[in-house]
Amino acid sequence: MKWTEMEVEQPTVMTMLRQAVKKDRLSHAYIFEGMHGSRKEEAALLMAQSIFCARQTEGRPCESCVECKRIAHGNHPDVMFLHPDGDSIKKAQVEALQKEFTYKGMEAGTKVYLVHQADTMTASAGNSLLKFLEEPASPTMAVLLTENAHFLLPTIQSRAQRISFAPPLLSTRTAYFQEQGMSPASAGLLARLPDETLANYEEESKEWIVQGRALVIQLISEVQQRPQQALLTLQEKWLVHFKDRKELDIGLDLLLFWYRDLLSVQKAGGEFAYPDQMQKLESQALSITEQEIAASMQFILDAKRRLRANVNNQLLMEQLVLHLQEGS
Amino acid sequence: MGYQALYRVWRPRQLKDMAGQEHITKTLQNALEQEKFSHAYLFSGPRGTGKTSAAKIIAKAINCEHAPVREPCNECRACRGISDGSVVDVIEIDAASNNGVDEIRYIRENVMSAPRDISYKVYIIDEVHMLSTGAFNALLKTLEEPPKHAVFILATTEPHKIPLTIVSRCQRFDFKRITTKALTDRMNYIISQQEWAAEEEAVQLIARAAEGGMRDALSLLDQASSFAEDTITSDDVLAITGAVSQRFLAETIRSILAGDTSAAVRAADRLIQDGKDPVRFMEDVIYYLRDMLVAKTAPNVDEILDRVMVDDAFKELTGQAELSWIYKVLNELNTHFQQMKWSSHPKIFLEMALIQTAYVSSGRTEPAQGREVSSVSSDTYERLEKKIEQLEQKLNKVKEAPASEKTEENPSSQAPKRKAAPRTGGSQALGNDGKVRETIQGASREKLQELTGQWAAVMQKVKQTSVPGHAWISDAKPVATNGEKLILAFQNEMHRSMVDTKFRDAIESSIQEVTGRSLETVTLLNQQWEKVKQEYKNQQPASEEKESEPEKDPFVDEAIKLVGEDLLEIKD
Amino acid sequence: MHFTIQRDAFVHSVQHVNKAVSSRTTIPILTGIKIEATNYGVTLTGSDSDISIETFIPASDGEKEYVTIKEEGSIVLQARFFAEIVKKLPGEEIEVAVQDQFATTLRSGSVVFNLNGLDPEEYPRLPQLDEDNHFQMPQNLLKDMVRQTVFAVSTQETRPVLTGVNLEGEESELICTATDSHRLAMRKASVETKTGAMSLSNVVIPGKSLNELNKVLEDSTELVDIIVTESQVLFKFENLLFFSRLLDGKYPVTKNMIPDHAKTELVLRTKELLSSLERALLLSREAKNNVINLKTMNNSEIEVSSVSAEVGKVTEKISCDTMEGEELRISFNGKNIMDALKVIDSETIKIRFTGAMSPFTVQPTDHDQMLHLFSPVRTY
Repeated sequence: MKWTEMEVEQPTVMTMLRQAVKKDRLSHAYIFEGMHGSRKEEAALLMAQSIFCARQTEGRPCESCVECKRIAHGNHPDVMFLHPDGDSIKKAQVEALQKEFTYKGMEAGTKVYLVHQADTMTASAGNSLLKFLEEPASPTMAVLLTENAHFLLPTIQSRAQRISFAPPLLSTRTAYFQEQGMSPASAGLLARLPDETLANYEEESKEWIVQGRALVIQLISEVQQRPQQALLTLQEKWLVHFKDRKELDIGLDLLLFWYRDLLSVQKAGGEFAYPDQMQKLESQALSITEQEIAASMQFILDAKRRLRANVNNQLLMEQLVLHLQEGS
Repeated sequence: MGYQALYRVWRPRQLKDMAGQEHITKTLQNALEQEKFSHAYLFSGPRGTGKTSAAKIIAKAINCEHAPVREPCNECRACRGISDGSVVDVIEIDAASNNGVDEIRYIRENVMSAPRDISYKVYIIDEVHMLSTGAFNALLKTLEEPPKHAVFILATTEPHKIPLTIVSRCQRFDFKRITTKALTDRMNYIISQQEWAAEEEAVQLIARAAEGGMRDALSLLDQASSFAEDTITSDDVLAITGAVSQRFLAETIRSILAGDTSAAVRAADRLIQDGKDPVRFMEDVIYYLRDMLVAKTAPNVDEILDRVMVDDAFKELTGQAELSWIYKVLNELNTHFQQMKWSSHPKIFLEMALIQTAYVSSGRTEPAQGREVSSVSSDTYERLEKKIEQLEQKLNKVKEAPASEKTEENPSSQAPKRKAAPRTGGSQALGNDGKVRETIQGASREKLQELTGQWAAVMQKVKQTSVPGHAWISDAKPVATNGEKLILAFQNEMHRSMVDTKFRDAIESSIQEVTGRSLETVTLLNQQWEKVKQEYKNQQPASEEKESEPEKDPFVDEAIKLVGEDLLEIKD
Repeated sequence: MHFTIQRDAFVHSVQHVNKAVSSRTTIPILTGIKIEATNYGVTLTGSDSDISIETFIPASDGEKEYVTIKEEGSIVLQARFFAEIVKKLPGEEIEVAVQDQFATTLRSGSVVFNLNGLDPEEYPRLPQLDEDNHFQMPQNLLKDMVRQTVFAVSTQETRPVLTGVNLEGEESELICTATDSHRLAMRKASVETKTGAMSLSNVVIPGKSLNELNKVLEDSTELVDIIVTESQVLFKFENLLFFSRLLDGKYPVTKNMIPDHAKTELVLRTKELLSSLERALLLSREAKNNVINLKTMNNSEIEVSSVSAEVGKVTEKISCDTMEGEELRISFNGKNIMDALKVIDSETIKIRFTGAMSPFTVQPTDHDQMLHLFSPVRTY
């Protein structure tokens, strides 16, 4: 990822970083906050490069010298990374890092560490990081990467400068999935799914998502027209296709996008998740009030929340379908 | 990278420099002067309010070569040694990374040995709430019988996690959130010392975003100044905080107040495009409302407003809104806000929440079933059962509907208005040409859009007035309107004539009720509409087509824009 | 890169640098050993980023040819495999050649290994040697200095800088200090400076690195060069360089902690006191506080005692060589004193007290190159 490309994707952020490097006003701690795919990881590496790069101009690294290459390959001894060990970043990991930082820099005297998925830090790991974040003995820069800064300890938040990354454009993401060989229809849906959901499905999802999509359309029209049939479809098809909790979560997302599309129809605008279903969307939009759409969206979001609380899948879906019927 | 963060450079070095904690600093100063300080202190309070700074100042003051003093001199060997960390008798312990019994036992063993360089050993235990139970017990032993030469200062953001046996052995000081005024004063001082320049509004914005934490405030100021070209402007601050301008907040609240859901959804859209955080935005809206509430109940007390700067829009909104409305909307938004934090689709959540809130706020909704349900989410089985019952009833109703032709006359107050609407006779489908043309002439896509957006609500109203009416009309589609007349296109002549002759009133009054506008309906068959549309189109010069193409279906347009003509099959 | 090398010399060298390589490193390139061939010989480097060891095998040392260089160059090879492989190669000589994309061939006798290498460009650079702070001392003296100070470093991470030994240097005098804030060990030595006046301050070498260094140091009078740079210190032996990173942070100023007067002064035989403390500790170790009491008696004797509430009590009288000054009762951590006595090689020691609640010093009587400082313990 080139700095110049990043400047196109995240203009505000990159200007901020460039200004800080240029003016020699880098903070000792940053929180990079942004959705998956907002390329905050790349931005963090680029910033590290521009700190170490000998040929840095106007705050931009050259991206070709040994320093830049070593940082890109994780071989720079003074640029460190912390990744979650399993599900979380443990206290022992922070301590190991801390220990590393009681030493002077291996080469430059400046040290940079990037904490990936910083929100997965356990409470004690986070608290351990605190002191160290605030009073590094030598020139040190911490970059905490997270999708949601709200999940970090407030005391950490207040010690760091927060940089918010704009979410990637839907069109960019859609184009990306099309390049991966997805049909336009399923690419549009995939682009809307949060990446953490997608992570496990990248490969085999192609067919699966197409079928899931068809199921959503079927279910919706049954909810509208043949309520009894809908419950049957749930039992026979839906729950067979969206088997476990994770898959069902995606199914609910797909449903949610449908209702969001209905809203777009009524508000005459926006990008559609089901652009080839305009006929259906339009006719349904005439028979459902905006408020009912909103209520339906809330039912689905509610269902998603309850799904996390280990509610029985079938019960959850049946209840949802009944709710949706009232709303359509 | 020799730059040091502002909040570290400007950490207070004397008690009198500590902003907004006079109730504590006064007491401490007196205690220090009279050498009546305690052997154990507990400093609690939110982040960035000066707990650790105060602890360090005390460590210096009691060890200062000029002691007893109200303030440390920061000049003598002891003070300087403590500041640069070269004095080994002031021990800062980070309880978070040393929360084991071993570490506290280590303190216990060593607390007995006399201080080496200065008169008092000072143990500053930060984040003390992180100690394990065993460690707390070990600490308790030390606090029970501390040697004369030792002072313990415990600092924490979460005092409720500390055992009472510890708390009761300490002198406790609660640090308060720093007021916006104290924050701005301090920042303005620092700005002048750093020889920077900043807009007053920018400083205000920072102070309000900092939520009472000095460190937050200075971090933001730092960030703003490194981002700003020259003078720190409010735009710079908005860019770095990811917040939206107060104007934007006011607009959003105004649209909620007006029940204008489209505006609210547009606001959500713009927010996302600007890369702002929906959760943060929601929080800001809530705080704005909170401040409206405060302003309404306690006018003229600007200082206690949390976030808002009092401007015209704020005054206007506060004047407009009813107290009960604010409560209602706050309540509604707050419920959504709690769940939104955990949602993976914050944008959709935001849109949904804004729409729901707009409806609740305008009160123009009969409490929809959806609303009821959303408030009850537990006792699943009961709900399910009830729902099924309701559903069955509904089904029965639908079955009965065609049979029972009784058209309940709507006794509502709408009746006189309905009559006020211009009524022209002639309901023959083919005799409508004049009106159709007239309608097309003045038709606008926006107006149609507005109507179709609410069409479902209209239909629902119709259903309430007349179930059969609803059945007849459900086949129709609004195709054009000029603001006075509405063209409805039907698939089927029988439906058309039934509606035209029997249910016109029901429809028109429903439209009136939902949109607040009276429209005269003109009915047509689909084929006729297509023909008229074509004729009209042919009359128009090609260049003007864009503006005067009322017959073009906006949905189709939109779809074509998205997927291109090839993909889209238009069935009418 | 292409060269052939004597197997034994190579194996020996590889083993040395391999000591510095850690399998737990997070930096991929550091799992490897860097090999660099120039016309002068072959340099090997291994590092875990805390310490780095570099060895040099000269092309020839006048007597013997070790290396034949065919082409200069460098490569990084996975240490784990490489070290094992060279050890097990059959021939007298090993041929090392790098082809494209860092693919490397090791050939010995009829055995051929093809290994995937890493880009040597990405290997950390060892510091540029700054000639300013460069001095020399015999290996055995350095070994002594390490032994006599490193035991006193702190094992607590609360103040990381105390986990190292601090080096101060003025003119030609080098002072090493270690303290865990309850005791302090100080050792002085005069050294050969290479570049006129030396001026060192706040050079803190991690205790862990010094323990590693100790394994490399031999009990010989051969000189070792010590060069201090901004972030690292280098110990330079013939054909072996030992680098250690320095600790960050400000080391406490220790000079003015040492009292310049004494109220009570004792001279004792080292061994006698040591074994007396050992006995007394038998009980106080039980109480887990290691507290030992010391009392001056009238007739140039002191009484060493220790009490354990559960077990009992021990008292022992030791006669001093000399005793001057006020009467005194004092308590201290006996374990700390013992640690110090163990590294004092002199027959007799001098203890200087400045009061029951003030720090006291222990030093050998025959020279003033060493000093130990202790804080007393309050027992009431």
